[in-house]
Amino acid sequence: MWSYLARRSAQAFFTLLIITVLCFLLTRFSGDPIAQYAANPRMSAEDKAALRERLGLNQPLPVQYFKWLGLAAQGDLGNSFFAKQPVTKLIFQRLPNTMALMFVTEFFTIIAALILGIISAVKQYSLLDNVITTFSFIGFSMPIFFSALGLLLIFAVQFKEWGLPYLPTGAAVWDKKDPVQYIYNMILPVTALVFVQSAGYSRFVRTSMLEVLGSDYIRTARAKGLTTRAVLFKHALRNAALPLVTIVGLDIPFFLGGAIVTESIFSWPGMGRLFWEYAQRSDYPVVLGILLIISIAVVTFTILTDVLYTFVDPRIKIS
Amino acid sequence: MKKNTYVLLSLLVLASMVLAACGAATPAMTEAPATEVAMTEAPACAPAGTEPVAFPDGGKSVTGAFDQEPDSIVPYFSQMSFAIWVTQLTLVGLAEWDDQSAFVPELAAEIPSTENGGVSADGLTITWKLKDCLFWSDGTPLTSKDVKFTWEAVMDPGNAPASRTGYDKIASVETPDDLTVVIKFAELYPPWQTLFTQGPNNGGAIIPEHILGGQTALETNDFIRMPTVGSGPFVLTEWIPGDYMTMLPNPNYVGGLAKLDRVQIRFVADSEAAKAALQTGDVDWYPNFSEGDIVALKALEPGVKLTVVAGSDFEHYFFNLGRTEGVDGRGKADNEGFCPFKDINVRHAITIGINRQAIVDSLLSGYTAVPVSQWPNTAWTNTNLEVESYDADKAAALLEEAGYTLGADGIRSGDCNGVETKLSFNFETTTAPIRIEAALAVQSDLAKIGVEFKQIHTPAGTFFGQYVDGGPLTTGNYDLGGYTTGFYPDPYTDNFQCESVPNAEKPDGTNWYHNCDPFLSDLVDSSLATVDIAARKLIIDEVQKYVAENYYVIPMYARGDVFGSTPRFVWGPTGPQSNMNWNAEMWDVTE
Amino acid sequence: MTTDVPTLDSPVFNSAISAKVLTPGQLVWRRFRKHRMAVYGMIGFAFLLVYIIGGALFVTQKTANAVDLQARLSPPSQQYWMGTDSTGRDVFARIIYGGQVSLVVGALAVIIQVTLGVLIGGIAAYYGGWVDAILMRFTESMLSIPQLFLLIVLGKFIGKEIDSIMIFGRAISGSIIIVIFVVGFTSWMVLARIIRANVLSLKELDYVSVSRSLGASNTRIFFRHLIPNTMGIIIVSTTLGLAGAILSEAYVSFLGLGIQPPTASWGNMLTSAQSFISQGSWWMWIFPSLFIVFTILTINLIGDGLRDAFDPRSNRHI
Repeated sequence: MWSYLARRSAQAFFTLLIITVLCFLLTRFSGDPIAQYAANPRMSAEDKAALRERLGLNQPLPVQYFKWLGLAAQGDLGNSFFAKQPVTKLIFQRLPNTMALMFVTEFFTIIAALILGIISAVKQYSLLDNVITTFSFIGFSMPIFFSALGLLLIFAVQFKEWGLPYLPTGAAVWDKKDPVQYIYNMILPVTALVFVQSAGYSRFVRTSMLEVLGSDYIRTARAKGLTTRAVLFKHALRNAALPLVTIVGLDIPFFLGGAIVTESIFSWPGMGRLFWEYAQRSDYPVVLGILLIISIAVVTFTILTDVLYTFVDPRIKIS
Repeated sequence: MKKNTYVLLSLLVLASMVLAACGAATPAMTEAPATEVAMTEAPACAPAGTEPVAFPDGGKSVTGAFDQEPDSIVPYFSQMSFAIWVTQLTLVGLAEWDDQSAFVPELAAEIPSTENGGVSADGLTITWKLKDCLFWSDGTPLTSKDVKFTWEAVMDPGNAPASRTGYDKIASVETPDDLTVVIKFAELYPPWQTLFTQGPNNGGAIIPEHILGGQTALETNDFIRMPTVGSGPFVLTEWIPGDYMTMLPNPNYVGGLAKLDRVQIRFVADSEAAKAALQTGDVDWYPNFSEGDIVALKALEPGVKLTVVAGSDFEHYFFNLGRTEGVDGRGKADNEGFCPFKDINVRHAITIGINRQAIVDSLLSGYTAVPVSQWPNTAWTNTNLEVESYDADKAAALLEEAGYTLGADGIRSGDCNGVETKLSFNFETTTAPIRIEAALAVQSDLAKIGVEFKQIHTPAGTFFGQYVDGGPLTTGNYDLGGYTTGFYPDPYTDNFQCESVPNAEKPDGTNWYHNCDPFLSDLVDSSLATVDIAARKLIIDEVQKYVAENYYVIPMYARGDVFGSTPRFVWGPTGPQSNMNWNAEMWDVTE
Repeated sequence: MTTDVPTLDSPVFNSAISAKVLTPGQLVWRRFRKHRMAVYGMIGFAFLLVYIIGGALFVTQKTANAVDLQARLSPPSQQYWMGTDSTGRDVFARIIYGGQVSLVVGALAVIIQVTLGVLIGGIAAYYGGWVDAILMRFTESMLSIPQLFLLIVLGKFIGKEIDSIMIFGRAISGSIIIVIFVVGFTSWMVLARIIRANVLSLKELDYVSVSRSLGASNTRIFFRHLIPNTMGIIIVSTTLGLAGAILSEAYVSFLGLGIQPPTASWGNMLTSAQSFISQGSWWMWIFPSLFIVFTILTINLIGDGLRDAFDPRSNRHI
């Protein structure tokens, strides 16, 4: 067990190193942070050269990389080029909002997926199954901007026009001390995300449910005279829900950085928007910082799920 | 006796205001500056308060939307428009430009000129006189010392401002008394009006010595990022990153107390989010719509009010002329340019072969105009020039005359310097939607006269990339280029100088047209040899005429500043050099 | 493939298969055919192909790219069935040509994705040891970076000058090639992991050890035995990957980093529609969006049918 953990950690460390190199190179070649001042005559060539020097952009790439890595190892992700504030500060300002969105969405997604998935597995090939399947395929095939913009237009813009109670566009002034408003603001982005997310998850639950329901030990349980309900919830569900953990883990990068489109459309002050704003300006320290945090989260979560598996499912042995 | 009554009265007013505000400051603290000023000669004056005026219940409030969060509000440390807009509301300079682009005093009592002795005969000394009784929002007097400190802070090697342009030409700033600032330049600096003055296109607000004095590394200073003491109509009091900022009225603002009780700015993702928020009334204005949004906003009227101000910025297309022969080693470009462009007839034909008016009428809904020159809609515009209108037949005739005849594929080709050349070239610009739409229209217009125009849209970070990174503009690796340039708030001229052509030895050159015309270059230089505004205007007029006659650039359309607001929000006249923020104290709401 | 549907339903075919032992391919097809949703998906996809390929016979690309500023933002009418966009181009025509581009981008990107996935996953599993370790760490690294970020960063290269390419005698913006590579390079990781797991289990099978002991070369074993046996997975991944690739193109374009004008793609049609969304010009974004959703839906349905058909355990339809 411990040697397994140690080996996995060593691998994870190696993976993280590769990630930092990859990200570093990608960001450096993605654009010049000074270019945004190019057409700005208020900045003379000397001003630009001084700025380049100050930001350390004229040093050789390996030097820049190791400098960054050295500081990052000590928890210092540097200062944003443009906000001139520590990257860690910028990220931790946004992290709670992203986490809130992520947990609430994940919670409703899993509930919806389990309900839909179980219904369509139990009632396989019924009309209900077909309806659920059709809708989940539509949801699964829908770009998030389509569902997000659609919801925004209907519930925030049109509803107001029709004189109905309408939801905020996400841009309403909100007070952190007013949790009701906060939740209110969350309705649309969460709905848009849940709609798209739960579609894929429910297919997954359906498949693994079908697999479990067809397996020998469920047959045995049934043969022993257990009720359908007991079989369903005590045995089948537990085994079918397990693989969901893996998928949720794989979705972390999507949430921490990839909710760019959702957060942008609903002006949600989360990490995705932070990322998009600063990536456009080639603010390397912020972009790298966000990527590093995402990678650490993903890598840690992967190890955790693997370990979790061994506790929950006795069939899996750590080798 | 009379004096004492005045002091007493002002103290009473002050005390009541402070009490009304929040009661945090004790009257004893505010007494000091009042009596001090009263004792020194001059008319007695006291600050009207020492704190921003608190927001009363049911007060008048508006909320703006910004799609980018300012980095730091003090302009010397930021080049961001959104930051400068907040600066306009919170910090002021010696003078500013009004909605008619006239240069008007703000902290200063009058504009220096040769007549009033403000501008010395040799043009090297500029003397500003401040108004009496100026106070920061915390009640501290605002004096000439603050102006001097501002210059010192910008030039201090311990600080890292975004730009020192202009300020580095100053040899000394002297303050013979609290109201007089004497600026001595080391060399002639014709755009002196852009220094220590605040507008949407230049940041030169005065910063408080009593707060920042004696400190260095100001670029990381909290006050520079969020100045909680100011001199503008409002004071920044709260800033939740990623969310919103709040500004309350400055009791000591030189232009009087603002009509609104509060201004808030909410950070939204983009103009789409802003548009949706305007429709629901969540925000009252958004200043950063693009011209492409005009149609969409018009459709939302009257629920959303649309305002378009023709800007002094304009979109221009320009010919890469490349290496020029016979200019005695001046402005040696690395690239050859596109050969046919060296023929004035080709440039002329392409200019009039594009239906620019149709682009303005459709894409800009007719709100702006085809610019006559490269400095449109300003006091510097050559008003004698006229736009040459669209004439496809004449354009085709000019191309025939230049020796380019139609081929089987519908594209003209002809001999250029002994090489058979097709009139087929790349047009490079950025990815902004309006540029894409305009380029599509141009492409279809030029196809009609047998010219193939191939558009390439590059992200701005690549398009404006530096010489070593192979940026197309700097290296001259383009045929026809396009972006927006303009007036800042002095004519920007070094893109016409031979000596500014970028090349391997001089990668920072700003003559991205790669166009070395010695006559034009010398003409531009002569406009920088005097600080006399009238004399400069004559030369600048000549420059505009010469550029137009040689078809060096194609002025496409004047950019519009597009504002969307709720009908309840009332704001004053707006011009390209003033923005809507220049008289924020007059903003109001109708209920 | 689509035109085969009626033929295969004919009595001749049915009697033929019932008469003799079925080949694996026939078995798969038979199972697939019983999957009702998949068949609907296939029919839907066939209609789509008819529209975007057949439509090109009636509408020229010139029409699709013709700018008419007078007619900009016209709602759907007799003349413009799906209205016009912000420069007066016919949305109906552009969907035809945009669809071709989106599908070509999707298809080629999937080829890159599958090639990379199969090679990296297969090689890692086959050779094992440090090759496996390095390749899998690399795969994990790529997986931990949000795909949208990779798209954004790589998308910035899109502006680099690539001359227009001629496909079927038509000029198409060179940026397509970059979009194809960007999408392909950011989506192979999951497939690589699946292939690796599969090859790992196949490797231990007897016939592989036998052919190795008979002196077969690595390449031969790899391409003759291991890859064909993962064909089911590859085909399913390709189908689902196609849907993903079309979506990715739409995302890159939605963020303004996609295929360059004047070439149409469904993604860049949406970009230009963006600023007209909250006003009346619904036709500018509804039609491309619906086509994207419809295409991905049909492809996913087909993919789902294929997955069931290839999975020998799911014999429920027979």
